Amino acid sequence: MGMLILLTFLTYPSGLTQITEPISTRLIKNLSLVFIPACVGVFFLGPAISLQIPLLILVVVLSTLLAIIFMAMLIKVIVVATND
Amino acid sequence: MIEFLVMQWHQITATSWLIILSVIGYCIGMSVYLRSSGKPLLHPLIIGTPFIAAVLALMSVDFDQYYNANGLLNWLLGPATVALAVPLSKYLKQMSKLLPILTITVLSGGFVAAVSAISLALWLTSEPIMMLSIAAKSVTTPIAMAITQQLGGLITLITPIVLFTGITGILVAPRVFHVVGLQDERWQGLILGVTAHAIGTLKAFEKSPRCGAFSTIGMGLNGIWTSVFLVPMIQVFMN
Repeated sequence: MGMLILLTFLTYPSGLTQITEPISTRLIKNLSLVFIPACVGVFFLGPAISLQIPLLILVVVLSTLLAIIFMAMLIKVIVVATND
Repeated sequence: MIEFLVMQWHQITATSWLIILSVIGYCIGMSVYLRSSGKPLLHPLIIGTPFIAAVLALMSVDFDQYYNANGLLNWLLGPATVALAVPLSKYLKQMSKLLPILTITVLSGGFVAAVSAISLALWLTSEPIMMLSIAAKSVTTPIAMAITQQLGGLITLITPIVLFTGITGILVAPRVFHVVGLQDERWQGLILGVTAHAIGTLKAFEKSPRCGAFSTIGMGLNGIWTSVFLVPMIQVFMN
């Protein structure tokens, strides 16, 4: 919600972009640091969940591949249709 | 509102010296990543987190203690999500002509990414908690964490899943683009942003600023779209 509110304000010409840009650039550049505490948690998961990790990896690979193929083919169809 | 602010304040003030460990782990991870010229498999999170976990195990510090001690970093997740609006607003005007195609592809791509993950997780793991923890895998981490929290999934699981999704995306996307014959870097950027979020966007910026701009749009719009449809959709499904 906060992201949408800021986006709405930024679409109107004001000095807000000049104020927010240096801060947001620095924050986005070091985004990985913010994710570290939660990411460390993966090494402390219980054995029941750890056993599921190979299956989760398979789910991620298959669904990511599927989404990329779907989007690439959809864009090809739309681009060809709009050119015709 | 006051209650919310008090909660935020408690989270920040719970920060203790253990936060230094996160900063050291991040610096080590970042230095390895930069020396490797940005190899996805040497991402700062992949290098830094095992180091921190090993130090915690050696010091006999349990994970909850460490997690609470990083209150400031956990709190920063909120402002980091909001900050994504800044690069998004920069390119939004330039892309107004392509808005119909962008909207169709982001909405359907984001939907396919989430639904395929949910269906496969239910089919392969038959554990609802796994489905709830993997559903937001294709959006950028701060948004994915917020969605997973709302769904009641495992926060500790979504972060590495999102990271692994990004790495998978940048490894398989060039091959798919080659097979499908998608040469336009604007659309390549958009797909990388929708399916591989921040990691895909970093890769897209390495290709060209235009590719990166489209990736930023894909990542931002998919983050907003997924946060809108995913939680109500799963709540209806669970009931």
